[in-house]
Amino acid sequence: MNHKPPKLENLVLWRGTVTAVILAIIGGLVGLMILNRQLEGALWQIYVSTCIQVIGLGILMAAGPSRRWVSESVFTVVGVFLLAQIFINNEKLVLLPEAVPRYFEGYKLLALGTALIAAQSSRTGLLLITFCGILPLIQFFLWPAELRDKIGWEPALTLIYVMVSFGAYLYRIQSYKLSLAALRSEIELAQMVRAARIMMAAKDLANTPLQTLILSISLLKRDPSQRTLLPKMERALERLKQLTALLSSYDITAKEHGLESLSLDSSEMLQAEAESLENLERTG
Amino acid sequence: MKKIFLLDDDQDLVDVMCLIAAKEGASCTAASAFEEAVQQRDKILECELAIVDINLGSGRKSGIDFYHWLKSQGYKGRVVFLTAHGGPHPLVKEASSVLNALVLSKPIEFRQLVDLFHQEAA
Repeated sequence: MNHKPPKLENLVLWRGTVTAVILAIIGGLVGLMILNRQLEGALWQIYVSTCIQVIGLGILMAAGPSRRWVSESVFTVVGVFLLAQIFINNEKLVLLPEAVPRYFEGYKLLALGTALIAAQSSRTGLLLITFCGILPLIQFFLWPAELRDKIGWEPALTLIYVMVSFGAYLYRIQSYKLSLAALRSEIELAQMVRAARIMMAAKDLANTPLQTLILSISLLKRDPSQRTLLPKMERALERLKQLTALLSSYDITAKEHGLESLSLDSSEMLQAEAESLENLERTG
Repeated sequence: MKKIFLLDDDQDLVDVMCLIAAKEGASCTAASAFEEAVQQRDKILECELAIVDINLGSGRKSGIDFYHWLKSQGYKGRVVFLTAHGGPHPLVKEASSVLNALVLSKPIEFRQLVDLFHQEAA
């Protein structure tokens, strides 16, 4: 069975999602300990969210990094449940008579966590951070005026956190794209250098029999009686045939990568590849 | 009569070049390996032109080694390297830059080879 390695983007997304889910589980357990005293008997939302995270982690581990949609889906579902959990926690905390005015800590943590951990190849991260800014606003304006007065700098402070998170996440995405582009160029250059080496080796193997043939043909044209040249020419031809057979082993690699069409116009292809290599070396 | 020495690990090519040399009125001494060439020291030192292949086979002494040996023996003639390898090969680079010798890449044309023989005669 042929196991292809996962695409780099998918691997980054998978690892980012696994890390995020593990941290969410740890965060949920810490949340349980912290909120246990304040929200005694009303922690079902944390249990549900943590269960979803554990199931999500199991699915991620089973699916592996090659299936992008699994990582995307798990990240989205875990993110939605976290948002819901934080929303419900806030609704309960605000009703407590001795509640401290720190209702939006969950959103801040989630926004910052997403900015620092979420995979750069996923757009869901941006959505999650956006909702970390929208939901506190909705929640804030749904609360009665006397509750809002208790809250002080909120939700402005949370919005600042969200904006900082947004900036950090966008910066990570940009850096990731640049690194990916640089990596692709390096890989492309390495592949072309390898191809150039193969071409050079093939040229080296071809040149001596070719030299024998060129000189022999020229000599035969001048003196057709030189029949002793024929076996030498045949041997030279045989060596060129062997070289062609040796090079045909690369046809399998070409087929595997769907490159059959490239060989239709060999001169044009060689010219294009040589120019591409020159450009890469110039820019690299 | 002009005297030419040929060193190349391809016996067929050596034979063909010797035939051409003979047609052009030159006498030819040939070898297909460094050690074989060393055994013909006296004959080689009499030659005006040495056409030397750079790569004489994997794990064997190269044409560059032969060049150094030739110079150490007091050879006064001209040395031309004829190689199947491209310019970026380290031995080819050494031949063209360090030794400042003429390096020709295979395949050369018949006329070019003949001109080379005659240049020496001039």
